[in-house]
Amino acid sequence: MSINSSYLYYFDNQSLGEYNPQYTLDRTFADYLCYSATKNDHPTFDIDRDFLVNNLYYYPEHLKKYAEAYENNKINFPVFLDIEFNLNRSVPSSAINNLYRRRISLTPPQSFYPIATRYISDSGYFVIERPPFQIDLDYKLGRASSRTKKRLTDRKLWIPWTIFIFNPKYPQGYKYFFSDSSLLNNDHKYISPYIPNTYINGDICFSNSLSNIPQDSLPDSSDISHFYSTVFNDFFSGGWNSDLNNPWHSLINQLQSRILAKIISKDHISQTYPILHSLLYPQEEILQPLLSKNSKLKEMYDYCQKYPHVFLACLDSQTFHYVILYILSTFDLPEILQLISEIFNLSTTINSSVHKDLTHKFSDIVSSIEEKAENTLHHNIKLTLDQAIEYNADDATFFTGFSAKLLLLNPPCSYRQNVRPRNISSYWTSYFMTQEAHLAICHKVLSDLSSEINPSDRLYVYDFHSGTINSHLLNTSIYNYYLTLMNNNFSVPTILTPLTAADVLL
Amino acid sequence: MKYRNSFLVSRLNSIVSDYTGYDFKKNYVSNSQLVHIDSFFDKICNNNNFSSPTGIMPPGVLAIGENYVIYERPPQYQNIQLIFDQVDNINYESSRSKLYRIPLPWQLYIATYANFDGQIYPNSVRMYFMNSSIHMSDISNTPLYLPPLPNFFANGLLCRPMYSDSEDIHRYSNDVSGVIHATYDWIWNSGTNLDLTMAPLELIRQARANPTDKYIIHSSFEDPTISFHSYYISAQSVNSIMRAWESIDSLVSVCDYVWPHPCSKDRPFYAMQDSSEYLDEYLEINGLSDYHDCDPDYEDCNCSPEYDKDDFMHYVMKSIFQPKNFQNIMNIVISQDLHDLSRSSYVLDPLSKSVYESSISLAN
Repeated sequence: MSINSSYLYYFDNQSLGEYNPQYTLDRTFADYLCYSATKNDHPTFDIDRDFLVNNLYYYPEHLKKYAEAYENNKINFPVFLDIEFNLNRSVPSSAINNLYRRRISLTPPQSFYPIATRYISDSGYFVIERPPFQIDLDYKLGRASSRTKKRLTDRKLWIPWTIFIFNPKYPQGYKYFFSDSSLLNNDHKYISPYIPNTYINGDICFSNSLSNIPQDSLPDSSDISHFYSTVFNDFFSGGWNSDLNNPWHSLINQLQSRILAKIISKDHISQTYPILHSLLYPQEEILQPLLSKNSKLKEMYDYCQKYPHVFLACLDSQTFHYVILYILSTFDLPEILQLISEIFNLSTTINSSVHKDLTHKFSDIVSSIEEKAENTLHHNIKLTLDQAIEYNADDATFFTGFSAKLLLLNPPCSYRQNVRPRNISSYWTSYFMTQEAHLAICHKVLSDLSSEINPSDRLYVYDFHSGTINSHLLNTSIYNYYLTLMNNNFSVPTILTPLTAADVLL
Repeated sequence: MKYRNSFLVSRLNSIVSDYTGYDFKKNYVSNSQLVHIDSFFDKICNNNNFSSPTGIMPPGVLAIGENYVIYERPPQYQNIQLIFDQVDNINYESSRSKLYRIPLPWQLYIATYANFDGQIYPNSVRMYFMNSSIHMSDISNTPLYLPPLPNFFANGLLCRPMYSDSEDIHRYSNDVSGVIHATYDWIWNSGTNLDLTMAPLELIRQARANPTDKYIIHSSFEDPTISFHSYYISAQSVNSIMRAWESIDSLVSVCDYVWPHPCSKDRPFYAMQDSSEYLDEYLEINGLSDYHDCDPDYEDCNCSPEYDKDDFMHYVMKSIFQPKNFQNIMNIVISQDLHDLSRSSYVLDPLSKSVYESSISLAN
């Protein structure tokens, strides 16, 4: 969102289409349906219409009968929705621009950015570059919760050119990538790192390690330089574990399968990608310190030599970290840089999604952080808006937000082929809601509002059969209400008749 | 139609129009609401939320603020093609020029820019020398020096080059990165002439006032044309300074030199005008409060005790060219460059003003 956009803020970043205000499936109702439908311990919101229709077996009895009736008679059972009204006023951009200019206080910077701040996004993400450096390895052969004392230490590892990405305003997410040279342009290539506790998209999994830093030594996030060095150094000081797969694991596995399938020859790898070859097929003397201490590893190595297989591809994820870090620690900096360069060039040999996931253009990285910022920003603003509503309580005409409960009776059964709902919530809402119903509901809710009736205390019941809407005081929980509704009124689904509000209200 | 209630219809319309993303045309907010927006705005808006992406920047960017960017560069060699003429007299066929290769110590650049309708225009750039990276230094104790180069005002502000066409502006990316590249080019790739020589002049003056071997020239540097009232030095003097500069043997040793202190004023120093501001203070400090101006032709007065004009000018120079740190310079930038980006009067010196006014009167 930019100052130049015509809109200052809004509550939801989804396109609301023709249906305003926003409807969502009532959460309790959704949980009820999904728990029932999947029989799992956790609800899923990815159930599509076909699943609901074709998997009646999983429904609880009372719903199952009703769903069968739906299939046979093309009548839907009642649906609970939340209807959210956000009466947020917008203001002209020019007014905001003026306010913004008026607000600017010209003060000298109190601190400087990190030395190589190469890019700052409009939402405040910093991209900071660091030239190659060497670290001490510290990898625990186990998960974070493991009490194992097996560690890979006493080795040094070269880290190539890095970019580190973070937003001091949202200090929850950090990304970093490797490259074989300094950032040159938007097409500059980066690769997901070979360091443990890193996702393939470059995100760092800090788990709770960052929160272990004493509170009083946490940097002020407004001091970008200090903040950056603390987080960056904290991560590269080690303490890694095998919670996550190594980001390079999939690529190595795929190379193995391509080699075994004779799509790529080992000789080609050897001639065109010599450093990669020495990673895939390490000499025994290189690995001797590891093999001598671990007979199973030696056994595996011998097996790979015999057939031959890519040694790394034969290892479980925990050992993969251990071995790849060890092999890489035997490389000097030029070899590390060349390895990365070779992997970039692999695209000429293998054209695979795995390789594409691992390598990134700078412009794509920027796009992804902007996209993330877009979502985070809206989320953040929404939280701040809540505070702002409270702050602006005296001026209800400026910010007003409320929600109400809505029960749809006899919703229409005409399936709209052009509706492709993304989740169960949008399935129900987009499937059932019509413009006429929408206007009637808005009219009723806003009438109540103008009559100083709090819509949040009401249950609005819209009957598609009669086209009428009524509101009633809601004095029981939705869950109990719906259970009672179903048990009392739909125990015999074969005698379904059009319903009225009086039929279902307690 | 069932829903003819005007209040409700307008409410419904407003909801719909709100979500369509257009400016709110029907219900403009009142002043009291703007106050609320202002408070709200403060909450959600800090740093870069409402600016545009910077583009890919070179290493060394220290800070980006409202309409300014600060960056530093490490010691480096630069080539300067100096044309020994003022711009109006330059004949590219015949004007004498010379190429110098000078070592530079750490440099700090402060560039300001304006944003008109989404197009970013670099507005000014200042450059200062430092003995070390300010990033690694104590900001409050690191002195910033005036680069003794032609085309700089005595306060470190570059005399902005003239644009030959719009390509000079639009060939840079329309972001902070473009400002950095443009302003760097202004200094190092836009040609150098003798339009302004007050920065090298300050080197001579301050070297004379503070004899030390840490300047690139000696205190005995000779240029008989220089006085306290000068703001221009000869091409020979500039050449001598540049040659002395070239003789520094390495980038390491250039960082050990001392350079002149920049002037506080956001315009060139003019002894005749600026010194008068310091006279009362000087007289009081020296117990000469009784001194007053008089014209012997009309007054029968005793003008003693007279004050030492040279001593007074030394006092003025010391007052104006105090050592400056980053905060001092930034306060000047903020109070001068950024408060009114459209202001251009500081480039009009008193002489050109008087010439201009004379030409007006002649024309009339």
